[in-house]
Amino acid sequence: MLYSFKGYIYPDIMDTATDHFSPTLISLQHYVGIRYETLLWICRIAYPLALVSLILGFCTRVSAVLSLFLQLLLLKSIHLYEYGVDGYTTFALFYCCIFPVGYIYSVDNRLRKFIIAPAHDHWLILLKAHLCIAYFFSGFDKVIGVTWRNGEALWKTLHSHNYYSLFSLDFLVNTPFFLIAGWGTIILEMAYCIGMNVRVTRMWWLGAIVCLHLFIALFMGLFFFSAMMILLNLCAYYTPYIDPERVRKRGF
Amino acid sequence: MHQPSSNWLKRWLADNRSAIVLFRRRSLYGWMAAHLLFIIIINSVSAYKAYHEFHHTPEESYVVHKLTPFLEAKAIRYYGRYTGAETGYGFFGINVRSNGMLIGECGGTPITADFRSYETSLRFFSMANALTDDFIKPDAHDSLPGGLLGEYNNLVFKNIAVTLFQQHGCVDSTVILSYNVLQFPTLQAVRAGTPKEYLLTKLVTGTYSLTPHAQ
Repeated sequence: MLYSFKGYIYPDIMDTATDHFSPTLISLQHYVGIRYETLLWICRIAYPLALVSLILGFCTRVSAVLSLFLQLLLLKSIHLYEYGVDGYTTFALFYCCIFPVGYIYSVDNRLRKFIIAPAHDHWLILLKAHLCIAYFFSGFDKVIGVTWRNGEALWKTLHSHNYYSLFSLDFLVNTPFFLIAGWGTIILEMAYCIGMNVRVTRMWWLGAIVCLHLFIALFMGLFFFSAMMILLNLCAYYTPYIDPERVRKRGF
Repeated sequence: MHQPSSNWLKRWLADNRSAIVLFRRRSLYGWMAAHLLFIIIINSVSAYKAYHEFHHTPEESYVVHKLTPFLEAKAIRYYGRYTGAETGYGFFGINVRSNGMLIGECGGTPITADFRSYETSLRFFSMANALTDDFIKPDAHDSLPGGLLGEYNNLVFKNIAVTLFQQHGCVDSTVILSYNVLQFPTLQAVRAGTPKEYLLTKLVTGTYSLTPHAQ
């Protein structure tokens, strides 16, 4: 429904308004000279395969580059349908291209028996810093608008007709829940950098951030977005506590 | 034949090993700093523009004025695209967008878009919500060259009407598509006693004459 010529917006109409800084299915179709539907079919098979290969750590670097290319290709072909999760997916895949992600828990490691995993501390700092910036600006954009400071924005979000909600929170209308939750979101996001990087508060802050994203999943229905954010947070602030040697000794 | 040059290269690499490692490390840290600075700049400019657009105040910042051509340079756009650094993170800020709803009408019967998955419907409604801003504030941010955004949105609108018409097997030769804003009373209004009911306000209506496909 999003990509085909039977969809609500035809691919060539969407292609008219794209900036072409990355290829789209329509522009690539002209280049490779095959039918649009055939190219779409190939990409639909290739993208999940590349992602599975990346998850398994099989030809990790190649899989990551291919996944990033296909992600951008498929995403920019339907740029009118983009939303928050897509930007995070793109940068996560870019980091998979440059980070040493296939050195420990991977098929590559089983096949090639890497003796020493390359240093990853600086890459981890980059990921952490990126998340700190993302959360800070996410909170900052909220705090400069009055509706997040008085709870109205959260109320409005929860009453968007197109969002899934586990159950209605209307029974809390006469409580300060929306005000506190609005401010809580702002504080969690803007102070993310401090909360996550101070050893004493890290696990509490991580727990609160995971809860925030679970709330977003359960009451706003942004399942992919929440899953992606939880995954990124765990990668940046939880996995560094896992000792690879211990896991390796267990036989992986 | 290539032995001497190969030996020379090996010796040069061995002699300068520490310098090469240092250079690589410094280049990497330099790139990381530049990359993070780029993300900060993108988001600062984005937040600044969003603030002034929301409050209808002129953008007078000299810094933003000077930074804009840099951020729109081709090389920077390519870099931002492939690294994912071009993304702004001000989701649901400054204000939460109003809900847009596209409702078609064929032969007096209302028709709405159907989807096979929740994710598809989510993306469709995100697109509809993005259209809200363009319809409510037609002069606010024209992302297309030559001020063609309005024309483009009309084309998109017409395309949706045609698809709705075809999907629902409409026998009428005319389909009406309206763009509506769905509003819910504010928290303050509900606390003051306003009933919790959605209000549908028609913003734009398009009437399209179509010829049905031969069965």
